Amino acid sequence: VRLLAKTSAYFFVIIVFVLLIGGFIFYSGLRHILYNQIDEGLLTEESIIEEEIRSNWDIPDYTTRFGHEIEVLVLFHTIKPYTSISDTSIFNKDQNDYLLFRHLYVAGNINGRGYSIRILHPLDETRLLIRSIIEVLLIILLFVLLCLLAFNFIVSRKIWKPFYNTIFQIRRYDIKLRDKLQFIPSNINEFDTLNKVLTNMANKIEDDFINLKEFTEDASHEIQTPLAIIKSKLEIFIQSTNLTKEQIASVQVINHAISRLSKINAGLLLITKIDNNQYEKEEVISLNVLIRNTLEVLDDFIAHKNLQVKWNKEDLVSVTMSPSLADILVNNLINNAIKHNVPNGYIAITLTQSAFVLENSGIPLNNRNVNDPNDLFYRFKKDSMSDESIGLGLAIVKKICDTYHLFVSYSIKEDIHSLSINIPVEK
Amino acid sequence: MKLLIIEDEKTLADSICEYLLQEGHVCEKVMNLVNAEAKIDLYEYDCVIVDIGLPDGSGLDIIKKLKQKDSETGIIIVSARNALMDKIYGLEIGADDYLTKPFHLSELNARLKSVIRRRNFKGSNEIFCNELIVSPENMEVFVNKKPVLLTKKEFALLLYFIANKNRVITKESIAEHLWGDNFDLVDSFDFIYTHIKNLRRKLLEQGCADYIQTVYGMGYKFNLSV
Repeated sequence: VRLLAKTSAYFFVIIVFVLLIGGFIFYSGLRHILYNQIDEGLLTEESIIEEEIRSNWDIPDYTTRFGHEIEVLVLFHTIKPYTSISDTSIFNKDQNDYLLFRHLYVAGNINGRGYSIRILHPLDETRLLIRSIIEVLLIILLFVLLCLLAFNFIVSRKIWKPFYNTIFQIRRYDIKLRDKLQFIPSNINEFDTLNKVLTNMANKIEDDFINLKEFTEDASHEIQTPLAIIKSKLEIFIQSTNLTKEQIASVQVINHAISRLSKINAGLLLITKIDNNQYEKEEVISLNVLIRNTLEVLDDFIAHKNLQVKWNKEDLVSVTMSPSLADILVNNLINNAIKHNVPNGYIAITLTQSAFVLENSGIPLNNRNVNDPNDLFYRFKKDSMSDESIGLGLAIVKKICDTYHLFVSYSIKEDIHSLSINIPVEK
Repeated sequence: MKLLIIEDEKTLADSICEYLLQEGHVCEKVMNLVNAEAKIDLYEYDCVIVDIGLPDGSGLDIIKKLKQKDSETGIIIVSARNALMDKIYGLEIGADDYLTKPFHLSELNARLKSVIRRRNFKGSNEIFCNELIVSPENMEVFVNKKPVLLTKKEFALLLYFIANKNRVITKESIAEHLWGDNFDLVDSFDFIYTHIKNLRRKLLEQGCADYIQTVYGMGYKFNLSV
């Protein structure tokens, strides 16, 4: 729900509520005043009649007087004094309907003789008047309500505009693009504060991000040279012929560790490079050719595990990518499918215009280490079955896919691993 | 062969020199651009191994300078930056090969031999090793003039062995040489073993001496002195 809709809704509810109560109070007030007036008139009439009775017991024909229906009765005995004023409805033959009347009834005694006076005041007009007043008022109020709502809407829109702009900016913000957040200055303190806080935060994050990136890049680069020295010294060292078994064992371990370190470093460097857009420009690359070549290079490994490769070759699919990244992508994917496979397993490649799916038999994921298969895309996350792997392969895959806005996902059903990349339709 | 190594990291330059000296090359070392330029002005080299990141400038300038001189010197770039642009640019302006640190000396040696071979014989050359004759361009191998049929990998392996003959070559360097460095090596050593076994068998079948030796715990050695 939009903020504007929400405030408008509250506004509406409150106004309607206030109007209902206000309307009711107004209605009863108006009614009360009018009735008072009518009642006062009726009582005055009654007192005039009473005075007339008192002065001479001559009762004129009062059927209609003061424009009211009047009925006066004079008795020869006393009566219990009584006064009542109430609404009543009387059936009218002419109009064939019940009509409302204000009804005054007074009974009293003068000089030991009772009398009663009944005056009827038609209420139709009064009610009509009340209704008209209420109607006019309602129309005015409705108009005011609409105006208020519209006003609220327009003002809120104007007031919240900088806020929506801020949200738009943040949503569009991508730290990798290095574009600064540009907020529209508003003259509202809260929004300006928000914008300032966000700008500061973004700047800080950006600084940290750049620092971290530079650090990773520098560190990786700086590590290369010492590694090269160790590697070269070791290579010269092993040329000596008089090494003991223990020394050889140590050299073996060192060698292995250095190789791993080199691989990790190379992987990190590659990720940094992709991050920094340091790769050659894009070309149209045939995935079919690429996959075929990669399978050929990795033929030894496939044959060794006696894997069956199933590949539908019907569709010819091309992507626009940097050639080396495409190469690394496919290489890593197929590598992954081989590495985490089981002997006599299979690899199924499905290549269509919309997706590249790689399915392979494997070992069910160890649940203790990996809850969500997609976690495997994070650096150094790996399933425990392959301690030897450096755990960067899928992170690199993810990075490359992100760069080209390809959606990659990993799923595991029992012992079947499946990795799919959606290929967007070429524009 | 006369080589110039332009590398600011002294220890690494020493290692390279030490390794290449044993091949019978003459090695000179310089540690910066100024000295390197002075050297190439004065002398002719068969091959120059140049680091791109030098303290006083880019090694790429040396390549340009050599090319201006129209020299026949082979050029191998060695760089800590595996930047593709550097690589492409370096090769474009005339470098023969590009190696990223950290590299195996055996790999550098093999590349160096390949560069020198291409330079010296303009592409038509054969390598003679006792009864073995290898023709890299045609991918042919002869033992006592009889052809031996090798797979691509076996051939690459043999060439690598011959380039680093009489040396201990680690399994890691062989794996990298055969499958490139973007392979996340796990059990590639088994395949090396398989390829070596096949290569050895094929050579032996044609009456070649058993040059390929296993060096316990470390790797292999193509020992021509058996």
